[in-house]
Amino acid sequence: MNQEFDREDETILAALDALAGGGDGSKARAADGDETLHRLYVELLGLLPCALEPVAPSADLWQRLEAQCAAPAEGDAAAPSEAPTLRLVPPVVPSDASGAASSAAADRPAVASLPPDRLPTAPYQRPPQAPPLPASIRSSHAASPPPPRSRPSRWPLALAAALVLALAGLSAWLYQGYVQQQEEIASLTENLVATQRKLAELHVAKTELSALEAKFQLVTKPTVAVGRLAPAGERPLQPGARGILFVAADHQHWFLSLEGLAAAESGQRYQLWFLAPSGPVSGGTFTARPGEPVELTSAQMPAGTQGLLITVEPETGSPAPTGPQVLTTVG
Amino acid sequence: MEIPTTPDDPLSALPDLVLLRSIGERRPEALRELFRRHAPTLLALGKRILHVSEDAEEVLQEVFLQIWRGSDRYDPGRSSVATWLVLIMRSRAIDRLRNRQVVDRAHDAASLDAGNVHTSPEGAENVLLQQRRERVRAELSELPREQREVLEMAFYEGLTQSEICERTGIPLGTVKTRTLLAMKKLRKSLREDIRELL
Repeated sequence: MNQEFDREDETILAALDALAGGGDGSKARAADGDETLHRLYVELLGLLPCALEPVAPSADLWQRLEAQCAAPAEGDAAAPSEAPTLRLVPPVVPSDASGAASSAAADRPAVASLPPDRLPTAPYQRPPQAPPLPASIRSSHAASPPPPRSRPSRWPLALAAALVLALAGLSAWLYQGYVQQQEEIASLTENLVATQRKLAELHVAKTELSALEAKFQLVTKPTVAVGRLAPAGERPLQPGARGILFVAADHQHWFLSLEGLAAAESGQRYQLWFLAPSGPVSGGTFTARPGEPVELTSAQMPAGTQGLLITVEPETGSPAPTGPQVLTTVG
Repeated sequence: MEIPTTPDDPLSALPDLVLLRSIGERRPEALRELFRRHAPTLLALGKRILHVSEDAEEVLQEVFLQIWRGSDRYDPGRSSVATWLVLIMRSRAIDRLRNRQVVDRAHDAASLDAGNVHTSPEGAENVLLQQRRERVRAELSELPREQREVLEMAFYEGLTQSEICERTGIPLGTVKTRTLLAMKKLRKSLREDIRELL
């Protein structure tokens, strides 16, 4: 089937192909350099598991992971205290063998390599030695200069020495080049890592700046709705606590600033609730530190939210408000 | 999506990217926070691919160990941290599926495991993430069944377009068309969620 695909189609298929091999898609690139479009589809693929019902890890999974992280990686294993050395192993001799026997063995021809039919049948005997020379001959031999003999040419030796020197020089030169290259690679890698870190920091700074700008724009817009949070109930749990809520005209973006909240007791956290028509909807849990403000913000709010409520709940949060109410919107 | 800022628990206020950088500096509390945020979704993904909770947990453990030892492999220019985690988890789970031949075991275990889903405590999960889940579910369910099926075979089973064609007997061109239609529809309907990840 002959089918024509446009640029977007090719980008999508490239993103899917990159995943098909079980890869993580990180190496995939749009064929024609359309990085932005490619990125959009990669992020879309990353969203797909959101459709699944989340599964809480078993209670001890984190502990197991923590223990594994604390253990050194295989590559980090401590080096043995002594570097392995190559040792010459003496030949094994029978325990009853004498030193003379072993030295005699050293003088024997290598019979082990001979075929069985050529093995000597008689005991080995040392060849007869020549009788010692008379003393007069020995002394005269020592006194007289050695007779002239024909000496082999030194050219081959000199040539071999020159070759060895040349090879040694070449090896040293190559090794030096290799070391320099390694140093350059290490230096470049270091620079690359530093640059990547800087990029990540820049990205973080941009993200934080965007968040600040968003907050600033939200709270300074004339169309923003402002609400107040005050201690809940006739006998407030924390009379000094208060908050101010800014909601954008789109009823989605909001910013909440809280002051005067005491630290939640051990095992407890504050939980934010959106008072929606269908009932309270959890906005997540948070903690507070005495004397310091708490700022919460998001780009989304459940439809029809009439107000906010803050309660004290168990550390893991609750599906519906169960604990004492601390703050609620007024007016 | 932004997480509430809490002076008492500063890590919970940090973006994933900053957590990842802290992990690179060997801060286990940053790994713990990243685990707390993403483990339920990643585990659901692992279980969807492997059908066996124990296998999925093992893969999840391997993934976070890999992140602990190599967080510098993340490239912010290529994907968000959340997507990077999803794609690593998916890749490792599919590897496990292929390498260990757990398919048969999975079929046997699926029925035993079906009634044993540990869902994340509702209150612990941010409402915004819950809403995202609902939107993705709704948009996927809006897709025609045949489009959803090819997309799920590609994503959850790691099949190429040709392999989907072989398995289903549908012409390759049709498989591609269905996949492309599904992806384009989802990109339009989930554009806000995608934008938040960028």
